[in-house]
Amino acid sequence: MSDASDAQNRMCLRLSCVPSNIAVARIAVATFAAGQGFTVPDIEEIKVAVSEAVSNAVLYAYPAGGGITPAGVTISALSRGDELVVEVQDSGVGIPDVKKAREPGFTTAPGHMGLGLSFMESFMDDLSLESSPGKGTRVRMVKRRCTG
Amino acid sequence: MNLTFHRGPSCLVARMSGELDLSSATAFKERVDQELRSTGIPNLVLNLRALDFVDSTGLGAILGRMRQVTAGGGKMVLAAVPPKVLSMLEMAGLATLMPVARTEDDAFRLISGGGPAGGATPGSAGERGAIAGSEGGATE
Repeated sequence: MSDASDAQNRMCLRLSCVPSNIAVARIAVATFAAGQGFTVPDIEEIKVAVSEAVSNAVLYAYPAGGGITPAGVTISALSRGDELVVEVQDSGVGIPDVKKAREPGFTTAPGHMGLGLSFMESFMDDLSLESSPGKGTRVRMVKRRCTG
Repeated sequence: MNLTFHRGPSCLVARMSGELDLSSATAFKERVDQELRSTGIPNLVLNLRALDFVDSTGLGAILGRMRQVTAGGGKMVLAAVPPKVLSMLEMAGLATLMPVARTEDDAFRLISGGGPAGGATPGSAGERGAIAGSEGGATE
C-alpha cells in the first residue's frame, strides 16, 4: 500500500453550471481528499469551500442576458505531497472588481450574504482568485494536511 | 434537504435534515414561510440536529426566516445546532443575532420568555472570530 503523502493524484470534473451540481462537486472533492488522508474536520471544511466556489459560479458566471453561452464549470483537484490543490474555473462573465468581491458581505445577488469568499479563505490555507471580464474566473485553493 | 413540521407550545417546530445549500435554499424558504402563514403561528423553533451540511447560502436562508418571523412579531430560536454549524454561525457573525438552544425544550422556554434554562448559548464569536458584522450583509 502506498503512503498517501508520497502519492500524486488528480481528478477533474466538468459539470453544467446548475445548483444540483454543487453537491456533486463537493462530494467528489471530499471523497478525493479522504483518499489522500485528510481528516474528517478538514474534509468538512473542504466541502464548504468547494460548495462556496461552485455556488459562486452557478450564481454569477452566466447571468441571463449576459451575452455568454453557459459553458459549465470545471472542478479539479490535485494531491501533491501534503497539499490538496482545488481549482474551480468557469468561462463566464468574470468579476469586474476582484478586490471588491473579496470584501466580506459584498454581493450582487439579492438574498445572499456575500460570505462565500470569506468562508473559502477561512477554511482553506491559501486562496487565489483570478478573473477576466468576459473570459471567466478561476479560484485556486490549497489545503495542507496536518502531518503531526 | 428534508423538512418536517410539528406543533410546539406557542410555536411551530421545523426539523431539518440533509443539506442546505443553493439547490435547497429556495424550497426551505418557501416551505417554512408557507407553514408559518397557513398555521398563523408567529414563533418558530428550527431544529438543526440532523442538518449534515450548510454553506453561506444556507445560512442566508436561515437568517431570512428569522427576519421573516421577527417582522411578524414572533421569535425564532435554533435548537440542537451541530457544532460545525454553530461554528459557521459564529464565523458569519450570526450567533449574535439568533438565540441558540441546546434542545427543543430549551427553545420552548426561550420562546415563552423563560430564559435559557442552561440550554442557550450566548452569541459570542468562536475562536475563528466573526467574518461579518452583526448586519451580516444579507439583503433578504
